[in-house]
Amino acid sequence: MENYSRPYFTKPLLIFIAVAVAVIVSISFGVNIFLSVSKDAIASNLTQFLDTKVSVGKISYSAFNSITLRDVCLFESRLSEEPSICFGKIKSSFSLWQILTKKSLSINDIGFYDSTIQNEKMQSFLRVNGADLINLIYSLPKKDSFALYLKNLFVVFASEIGDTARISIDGEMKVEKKQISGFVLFVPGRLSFDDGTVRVDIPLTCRFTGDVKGGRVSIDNLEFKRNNTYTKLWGALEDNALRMNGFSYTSDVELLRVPAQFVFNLKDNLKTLYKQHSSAKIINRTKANFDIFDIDCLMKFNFPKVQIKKLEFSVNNIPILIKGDLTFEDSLVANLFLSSFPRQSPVLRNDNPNRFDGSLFANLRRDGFSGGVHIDLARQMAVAVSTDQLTATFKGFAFKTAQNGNTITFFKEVDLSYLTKNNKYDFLFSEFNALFNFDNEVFKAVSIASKLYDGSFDAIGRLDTRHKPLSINFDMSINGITAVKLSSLSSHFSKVEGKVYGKINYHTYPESTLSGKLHSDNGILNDFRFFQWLANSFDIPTLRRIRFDKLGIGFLINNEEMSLKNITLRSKDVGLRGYYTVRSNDLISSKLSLFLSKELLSTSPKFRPLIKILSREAFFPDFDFQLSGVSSALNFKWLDSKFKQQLRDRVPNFVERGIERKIEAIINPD
Amino acid sequence: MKSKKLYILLACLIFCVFFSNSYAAGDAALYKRGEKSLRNGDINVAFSDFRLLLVSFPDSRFYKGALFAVGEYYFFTANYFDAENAFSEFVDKFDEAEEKLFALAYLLEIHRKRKNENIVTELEKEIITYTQVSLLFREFKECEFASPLLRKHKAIYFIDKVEFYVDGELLTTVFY
Repeated sequence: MENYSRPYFTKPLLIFIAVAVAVIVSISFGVNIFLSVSKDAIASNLTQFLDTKVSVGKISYSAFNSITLRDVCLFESRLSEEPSICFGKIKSSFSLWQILTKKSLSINDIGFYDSTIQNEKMQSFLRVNGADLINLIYSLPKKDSFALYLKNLFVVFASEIGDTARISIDGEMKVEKKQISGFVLFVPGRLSFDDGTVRVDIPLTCRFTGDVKGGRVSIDNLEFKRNNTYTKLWGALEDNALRMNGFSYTSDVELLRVPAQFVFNLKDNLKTLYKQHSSAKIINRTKANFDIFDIDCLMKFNFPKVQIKKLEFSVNNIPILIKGDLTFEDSLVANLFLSSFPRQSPVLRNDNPNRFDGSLFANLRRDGFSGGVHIDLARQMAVAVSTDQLTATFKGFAFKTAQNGNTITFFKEVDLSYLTKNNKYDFLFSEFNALFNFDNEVFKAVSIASKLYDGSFDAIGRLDTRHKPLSINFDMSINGITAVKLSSLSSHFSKVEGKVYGKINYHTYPESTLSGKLHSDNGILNDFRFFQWLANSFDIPTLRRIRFDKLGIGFLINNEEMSLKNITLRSKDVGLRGYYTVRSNDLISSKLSLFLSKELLSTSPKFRPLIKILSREAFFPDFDFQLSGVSSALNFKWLDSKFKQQLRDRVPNFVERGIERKIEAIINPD
Repeated sequence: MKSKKLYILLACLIFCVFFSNSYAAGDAALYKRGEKSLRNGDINVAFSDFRLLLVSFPDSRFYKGALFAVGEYYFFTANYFDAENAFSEFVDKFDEAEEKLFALAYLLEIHRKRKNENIVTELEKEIITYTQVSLLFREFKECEFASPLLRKHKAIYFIDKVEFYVDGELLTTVFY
């Protein structure tokens, strides 16, 4: 039997659809015209609402309940000329029912798309409007449901010296009956000036859940995950105070994905958790984990100032406390103080070799990032714990990406000072480049190239995270530095006129050791203590100022000794070879070979008898001697040699004893 | 009356002289008796006399010799506790004495036996810096000393060590 009803219902249906489409198109067209005409009024209302100048490029309506604003710019204030933040597209949906029945606009969701923000301008905007933004966040959950979307949002960090860093941000936040949840995905990257490509780094994922009651925002769960690092926090924001607790760890174990709704659906998620846990496997366990537990944070927001009242945590079982403040004014200023073992009693803390105290101040201005660091470090000595101090101030910090993707940091100037119990070391670096390579989980490397005073300084450093305290190894070379500028390293440098070249190694494992070789060519040695004594004792004033062809030493400094090895001094009239060691008990051990030319010796009245004896020799031999004892009363021995034997054969015993007494009187005038 | 006073004064004077002579005669007699016992090979009796001298005559001019002898006796009878006390007192009281070097050597050996590292280090340094040597044609410098117990003590300073001998036997060595 044929179905005669089909053609009967189809025609009215088609007519109805056509009419409906026509109505919808007409309404859309009409609304769009209305919005175009009212664009300025809408911008003005937004300015009124946000209390800051807003401009809108274009507004359009899409059926049935969404509005799209394009090229929307927020200004720092109502009077600003230059926009601070511009959004390519802002799309919002609203409740049509509310408009039709209650004649009021109720926003259901809002999304920000395709926008690029300069970091500097964003900071400036937040500085002025940060408090208002927090109030806005407080007001959002008053609605029963609301959603916020971010897509293709880029924050750009301009760099003076190279590629531009940028972070892309995508995310969403939903409010449902005063419960907040959402996620944000941060993807850092580098925009290369050379070829316009973007190099993308490991992303950071953030998930959060919470709720708002009265004026209090409860953060039930705030997670961050990046590669093998997982951080979980919880807390509350109330009365402009943020309190947070949590933990963080880095591990090779495949991380468990904690569901975002964990807190609200315990039973089901326990099952999921169990399944994930049983499937987790250890890939390659290393000791290079950084575990941060017992995070306890209290921050107060009082724009433009953010106070860190306390940030306490323990990292690898070392308790740390950070306090300070951040000020967002014309420039971002940070003043932070940190210390380890903050709750330990002063007496115990003083003897704790793992204690340190530090401060950091930094100033981010238009012309770069400047600041300083000061750290008090405890060092375990033989008997007690002493405190060393490291102070560094730097100007003009910037960074760029190397070809292999690693980060190069740059400082226009670094003034470094290291103070120990007995010594102070000062270094002034300029055009300081440091390339960091943290790819390896155990070994972290840094390469440094810099100017140091009027010469250059290069170094390769390696940090081995397997050992606690951390093991550091640095290989350094210095080139063409005027010796006197290194006087803070050793007072002996102040006696040398000339340029210094050399290689130095410093490592902390198994014990702190500094070693190396230095040399200087075609310089002058002034009033060096040993030659000063020779000059005074034997009446040879020219030994106070020796013009040398080559001066070289090797050195070794550790907790047991300080030694100069392979000492080499070559000049026309003076030569010196040997070693000189001072041990930790202040006792000296040394063997030296001294050459003094006949011409030089003949200027001394005390050596004339010797000259007479040796007048027939074609060339003068070296004096080999050994030293021991303490520096204030050195023991001296003339070592055996062919020359000494020849001399003994020529002089009678009583002359020998006479010479000995005279030499003894010179060496030991008491 | 006048003459009575004179007699009393004279008697007092004679008494003082007698007393001081008795005192002097006491400590000297003890010391000489001790030396005599040593020559006769009776070291224990000599020790008793020297010890009695120390107790009875603390201000005696023979105190120094007696103290060293007592310390020596204790050391060679392995009474290291009393030997340490005696030589420590010697070092404190007789800082300028030539025998001080050997007292330090005995103390060093005692503390080496007890493995007191810190004290050993201090004593070694004190011995090393006791004298400064310059050896032009000689290989070493010697110090000799005959102790109250008639033992020949010798210290030989080389450029890199000091050796102590007692009656030809090595007592201790300090390297530097």
